[in-house]
Order: sequence, then structure tokens, then C-alpha cells
Amino acid sequence: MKIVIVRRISQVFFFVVFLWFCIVSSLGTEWWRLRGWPVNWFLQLDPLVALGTVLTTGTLYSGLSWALAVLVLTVLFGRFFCGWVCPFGSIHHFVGYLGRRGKPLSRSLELNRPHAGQAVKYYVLLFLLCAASGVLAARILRLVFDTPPIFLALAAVTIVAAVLTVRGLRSNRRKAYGIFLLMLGFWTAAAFVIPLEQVIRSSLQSGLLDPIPLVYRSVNLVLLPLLDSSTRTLFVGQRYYEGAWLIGAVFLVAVLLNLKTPRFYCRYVCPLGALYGVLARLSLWKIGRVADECTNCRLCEANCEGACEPAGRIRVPECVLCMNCLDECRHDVIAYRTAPSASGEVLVPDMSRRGFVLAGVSGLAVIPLVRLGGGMSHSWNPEVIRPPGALSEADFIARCLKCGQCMRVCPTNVVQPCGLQAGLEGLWTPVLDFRIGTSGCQYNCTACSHVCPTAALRPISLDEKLGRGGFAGKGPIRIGTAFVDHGRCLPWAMDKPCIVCQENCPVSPKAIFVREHFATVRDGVVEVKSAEPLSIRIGGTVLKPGRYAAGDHYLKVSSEPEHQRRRIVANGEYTVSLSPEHRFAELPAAGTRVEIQVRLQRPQVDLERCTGCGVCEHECPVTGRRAIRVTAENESRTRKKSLLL
Amino acid sequence: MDSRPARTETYVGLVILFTLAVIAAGIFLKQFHYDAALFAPAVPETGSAPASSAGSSDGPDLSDYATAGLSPMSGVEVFGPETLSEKIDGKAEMYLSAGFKELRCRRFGRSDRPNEWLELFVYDMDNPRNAFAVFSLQKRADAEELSIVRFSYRTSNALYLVHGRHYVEIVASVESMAEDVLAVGLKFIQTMPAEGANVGEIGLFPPEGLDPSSVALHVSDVFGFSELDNTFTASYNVDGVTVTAFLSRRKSPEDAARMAEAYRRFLVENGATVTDANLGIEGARVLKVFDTFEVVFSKGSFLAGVHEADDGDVAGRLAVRLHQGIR
Repeated sequence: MKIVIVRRISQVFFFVVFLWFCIVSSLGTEWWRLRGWPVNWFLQLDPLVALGTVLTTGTLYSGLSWALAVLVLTVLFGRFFCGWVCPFGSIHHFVGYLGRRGKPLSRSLELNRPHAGQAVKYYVLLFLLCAASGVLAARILRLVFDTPPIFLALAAVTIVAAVLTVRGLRSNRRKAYGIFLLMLGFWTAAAFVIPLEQVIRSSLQSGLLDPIPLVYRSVNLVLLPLLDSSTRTLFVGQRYYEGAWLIGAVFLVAVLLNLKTPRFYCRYVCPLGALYGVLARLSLWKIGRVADECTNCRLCEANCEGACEPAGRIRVPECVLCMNCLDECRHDVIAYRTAPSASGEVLVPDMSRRGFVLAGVSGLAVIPLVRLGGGMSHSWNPEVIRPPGALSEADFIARCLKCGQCMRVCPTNVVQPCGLQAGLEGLWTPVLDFRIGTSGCQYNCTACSHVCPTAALRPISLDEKLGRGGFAGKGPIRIGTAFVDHGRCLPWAMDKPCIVCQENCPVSPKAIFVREHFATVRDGVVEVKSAEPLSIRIGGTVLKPGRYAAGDHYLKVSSEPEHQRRRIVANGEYTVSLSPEHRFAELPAAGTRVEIQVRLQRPQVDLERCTGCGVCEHECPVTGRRAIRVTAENESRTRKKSLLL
Repeated sequence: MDSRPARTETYVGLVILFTLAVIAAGIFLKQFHYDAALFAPAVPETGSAPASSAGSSDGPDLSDYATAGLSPMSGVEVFGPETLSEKIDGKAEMYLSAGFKELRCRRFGRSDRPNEWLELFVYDMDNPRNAFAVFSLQKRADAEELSIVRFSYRTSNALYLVHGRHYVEIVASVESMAEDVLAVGLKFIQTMPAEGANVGEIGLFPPEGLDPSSVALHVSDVFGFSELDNTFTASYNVDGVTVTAFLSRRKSPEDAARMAEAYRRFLVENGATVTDANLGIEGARVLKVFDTFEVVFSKGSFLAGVHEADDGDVAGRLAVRLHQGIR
């Protein structure tokens, strides 16, 4: 059996498994629902996810230990994940194959020639890792500074390295070490002068370009809702995701670029591929030439997926182990083995020192620059409502992959990809939008917290969410608070009876209660012409027949006590009829002023009970800008936002 | 590893394929292991009732209704009007407006199959009429009518019925427990004494074209009109058109006439116009509400009519038949 056939089977297998995981990511106990399917497995296999979260948090979330196995296998076999496992890579591979079909050999060879642009992905990787590692680096430097022996030794080494570097060394490698030590010394000195941990910030942004979160996000939030819009087999109704066009556009561009250059994303952009490339130099087994009998036919390069030049000095970091070169070589001079390639190997990614420094410094600097906007502190956006179980905003951003798993599993479609409401860092992180879904955040649901692969949404129990059992002392988890907009609420602003929000509030006892208020209707002050026990005749104003017959209108006689009102059951142009229990014991005299009043039940929010679930906002009949809206005030995860003493 | 010998390549390929098979098997086995509580409202600890429960602690613990092989997986949960929404998010208002008194529920399952369980919900609705109201207002789309009691139906994994003052739901976690669900339902019916529901109005709906499963009792705020309560509705198929008829027994003929007039006024106030159609029914009015037709009349102590029909002619014909059926 040819190894390329096995590779194709492997790609199809993992792609089907990945699709299956996307399909079953919905609540339910049927076998094709979430149940115990390890839907995050590909994310857990991703070393960039594990490394990124280790850098931002200093800890490895247990589920991500799978990535260690992938790292070990990469050190043994090379970039097997890219060529054999990665579902996004398989899409590129297939589309690239379609784009390459029918092209002459010369054109295929040209397309697969190594390109300087392939170094870009390493800069991307470095940028993302540095953006993630700022706080950890600052802590380490502080540790160095706080430990005098280490600090003095490091300072001495740095000075020596600086001197040697300035005097000029012939060896590039030594020069690189010298520059590295110089930079280290600079940062150490900087840490000596200023407390870096108060300046440097870190953020996990690898999910933007990491292919695994990217493909999860694209399939779950764009492709499945599109494909299901006509069949309605996966979702009950149409799923909507804000900004899906951008997620879809990134995916589509990445895929279509394969028609121009095979595996464009893998070669030029993919930070995970870059990480594997860095590790691949250590790999035990590698593709390479076994002898010098090569005829230079270059057939091996015609279908090379990584543009790694197997016929020449093979670029080991670029080889994705597609094994096409083995299959194509008719002289058996290409092999996969432990010995180095007979024609030489390039083991280090082709990066310039300038580019390296630029990417690293940019990565370290970008997050502090973004944070200068104040979005993480005083200028936080109240529209950013995170799902229940979300960590505090800084910790959340340090863990969130933007993979969209929480959005996919949400049964009511209220968890949405964030645009720029949470700043640049928050792009595609989950926020709640209560207008777009089919309800609010469901009272008895904690699904998103259990499906999050990095615990940016920490797993919570229903008891914790609802503040029951052992959590009764803490109270329920609040994701925000509902505020009534008195300028838009029908009973508050328009004197129109409405208690939809109160009726739909799922909290028990209800977080929304009503205060009764009687308001005199427009032109509702009239004079009595004559009266009977169950009706009066009025003069002056002409009433619209039946307008006050719905049960919400009352008659207030000015001469009677303030609290005494009589319910109206019918009215004509000049008559008002009362309900039997409100008959007049003493008939009002002609000329008595009476008011027609509407009984309003004006909603009020109980700050201690409201969890910010958003059901009220979703159900509000003022369907544009809702008259009751949830914002992130009083959310449990941040004490500073508390409105309660 | 040398690529030359095809045999080596084949062996390596087979090892890889075997690995894939192991991964597939691992994934398949993994899906059986999950916490069912994550996919449904949490199961409280055995023997405990939630602290928030506000129902009466006295009363049956529902264990009498467990059939062979089933044992309680939780303590009985009791909910009163104040706490009902904790258990049935979103629908509590419907139950409360229909006279809800108390909900008792409990899960039962098999110890050797933790993922297979059923939950028995017993709603005390104060009287059979109220129980029928909540039963009828939330009929599932895939309902299969049963004859174990007058008002009962089942879906692929659940059973719904009215028994005396109780509205009962039995919902299983898996479809394969359908027989257990039915057995528990039958045991409940056999064990719990009950009076029949007084829903005589149902018999007044003319049978031709009637969808019996569509009959529903609306307790309050019928058709958005706060004064109108206690109204039955039923769907008819008339010449391929689906139409809704309604019927409400009032306290007296005068009250029925007054309510008919009040409802007509309510419709007019909300944009309806009275047409000059004459159905030959004394006092009947045909109103045009935007693109639909509404017929309202009273006969004896009954308020009746046709609601939101797309075709005025069909609405008129059904109203005449309904009028003839009321005795």
C-alpha cells in the first residue's frame, strides 16, 4: 500500500471526524448530539493553543495535555500534523490540487519553488507568542532582578556579549547569540529601572490565525448555518452570527488562494505550521535524498505541498510530510529516514534578524498599546456581556481562542462573535446579544462553560449559576443587569399598558416587578352630565367608542378619595360604563369633574435578583432598540462593576 | 525507515490505518461517557429537595409510580407558584395563570445505565379543567394520541396526560425508554384516584372537519383580550383551508351577549372593521381584521365565533355550523 494513499485516508478520516464534531456540537442526549463526543479534541491537540495559554496564564489547562503528545510526535516524525491531520490543511490540500490540475509541469514546479515569503509565518508566530508572553517575561525579569546572584551573573554575561558583539564576530550564530543576550540585558536593565509587569500586558491572539480555531470558527459559524438554512436538520431555526461575513471572508480567501498557490495559508501565514517548522529541525525522521544519483528531473517537486525543495537542500521546517516526493521519484533517491539528506538540509527558518526583532518587539508592544485605550479598565464597554462562567476580562482575553465553540453550542444563539466592541483584542470572542437569538441566556443551561477548551469560560454547575445549594451564600452568577429605558418603555413613556418583560423574567422570585401607576389619559378630564349606578354621561369631549373597554382604564371622580377608582368596562362617545363591583353608591352630581385614567404597571428591576439573562430584552415588544436592555454592570466576575454593597 | 521496499511502506501504512481505527474506536467509546446533568436540568442529590422549593413538603414522594427495574435517582422536588419558574423556565406564567398549585417531580433510572432515566412531573392544577388547559395549550407537534385516559398523547420519548386535577408529564432521556414511560404513566393512572374533566364544551364543536387533537382551553387573556377567559378553540379544515372556531360558556345569556359586544369593540378598537355580511345568525357580526375575518356571536350562555380566518366565506359557513351545534 502506497504511503500517499494512507496519507489521503488519514486526511479524509480526520476531516470527517472534525466535521462530525462540528455537527454534534449541540445540546441533547441523542447519539448525534454533544453527549461525550470529544468535540474539542483538535483544539486540544494544537500545541499553539497549549503554548499560548501557558504563556498568558503560566499554567497548562489539563485538556491541553494532548498537545504534548503531538509535540513529541513532531520531534520524532516532523510536521505530520500539517500533512496528515489538520482539517484546514486538508481543505487547502484538496483545493490546491484542484487548482494545480491540468497545469504543465513547468508551471507546477514554478508554483512549488521555495519563496522568501514563507518566512512570514514565523514572524506571525513570533508576534503572537510575544503578544502572549509579555506578562510572563516581565515576571521572570522581576524574578531575576529580585535574585541578586542571578542578576549579577546575567549582567556580567550581557556585558561580555555586548563587547564581543560590538567588536564583531565572524560567526553568524555567535553574533545572533550576542544580540539575544544584549536584548536580554536591555530588558533586565529596563526591569531594573521600571516595574515592567505594570507596563507590559499579554493577550492570547493566536486564535485569529491558528488554523484549528480558525476552521472551527469558520465551519461552525458560517458554513453550517449556511448549509443548514434550507434543510433545517442541525438547527431548529436559522442561526445568525454577527460579523459572520468577515469570518467567512477570511476563510474563503484562505481557501481560494490555493488556486493561485497550493497551500498558500500553510506556506505563508499559518503560525501553527511555523511552530511545527521550528520543531521539525529536531525531528528524528526526515524526507531527504539518499544518494547523488538524482537526475534532477524535479518530478518530486511538482506536487510538493510544502515547497520545501526535496531535490535540492531540503527545507526541513517547510516539509509537511505529504510524501508526494516519495511517490513521484522514479529513481528511488528520495526517502523518509533518520539519516540527513545527501544533498544537504536547511534546518533553520529563513528569518532575518531585523524581522525577528521587529516581530518580537511588535508583539510585546502591541498589547500595551491597545490597552492604552482603557477598554480593560475605566473605559470598559457595558455592551460587552460575557457568557456565564467567564473569567475576569483580562484573564478571559488571556485564554479565549475565539474558536466559536461556545457560540455553536448555545441553544438560543445568543452567544455571538464580538466585533470591535471589546477592542481589537476582543475580536471574535464571545459576547451575548439578546436581540439576535431565540431567547435570552437560558436559565437552566451551562453548556458554553463546559464546551470551552481553555476554561476562558470556566465550567460551572447549575447550582453555581443559579446560586443554589452550596452556592446559596454567593448568590447567582450575574452576567449583567437589565435597565429599563424610561424613554422607550411603553408604560413609562407612552402610558401604554405592557408587562411583557415582567411576565417573561425566568428568575424566581422574579427580578422584574411592577409598580402600579394611574395616569390620566390625554383629554381624559371630563364633566359629568348625568349619572346612573353603572354609567355616567359626559359632556364636552367626544370619546372613541370602545377605547377604554379593555380593562386597563378607570374612572377617577375628583370628589372621591385619591385611592378610589372605578374600572371601566365600556364606553361610547359620551358614555362610560363601569364594572358591577364599582357601581356608584352615591351618584356624582352634574358638573363633577372626572378623570379617565389608565392603569400602568411600570417595570422595575431588582438589582439583587437580576442575573442579566436577557430574556426580558429579547421579549420586549419595542423590537428595535429595546426598552429594557442588559448591560454588563453588576456582573459577578468583576467586583469593580458591582452595583451592590 | 527506507521508502524503497514496498513491504515496509505497506507495513507502515497498515500500522497507521490501525492507529486511525483505534482513534475512531476511542472517540466512539468516549461519547458514551458524559454527565447527563449537563444536558438537562441538574439532578439534585438523592433524597434532597432544593432549598428554593416552596411547595408543601407533605405529600407523595412519587416513588409509588416507579415500575420494575426503575429506582429513584433523586429526591422528590416540590415547587410552588413562587418557585415554579426555577424548574420550567419560560412557561411558568402559563401554568400560574391556569391555576397551578404545586409541581412534584422526580427522576427514576436504572443503576446499571446512568444515562437512561426518566423524569415524572406531576402538576397539581387544582381542578381537571385547569389541567386540561395546560395539557391542551402545549401539545407537541409530533404527538401520537393515546387512549389510556381521555386526554393523553405521547412523543418519541415522553408521555403527556390529564388525570383528574393533575397534568402529568413523563420525559425520558432516551427514546428506547418509551415502554418504561408508558408503564409509569399507566401506574400513575391506576394508582391515583381521579375525577373526570368537565369539558363538555368540546362536544359542541361540530365534528365534520374538526381536528380533535387541536382542541385547547385558554384560561385567560384569550386572543389578547383581557376580559375574555375560559375559551375553547378548535382547528377545522374547511375546503382545504384551516380555520379556528372558538366557544366560551358564560354565566348567563346576558353575560354572553355583553361579552360578544365587548369583544367586537375590542377588535374595532384594534383596527377591525365591521362588514355588512349577513350570516342569518341573530346578532352575529363579521369583522375584517386587516387581512383576516373574525365572526362573533352569542347563543344562549355561549359566546362563539371564528377567529382569524383567511377566507370570509369559509369563516361564515363554519360559524353557521357552530351556531347550529350549540344547544
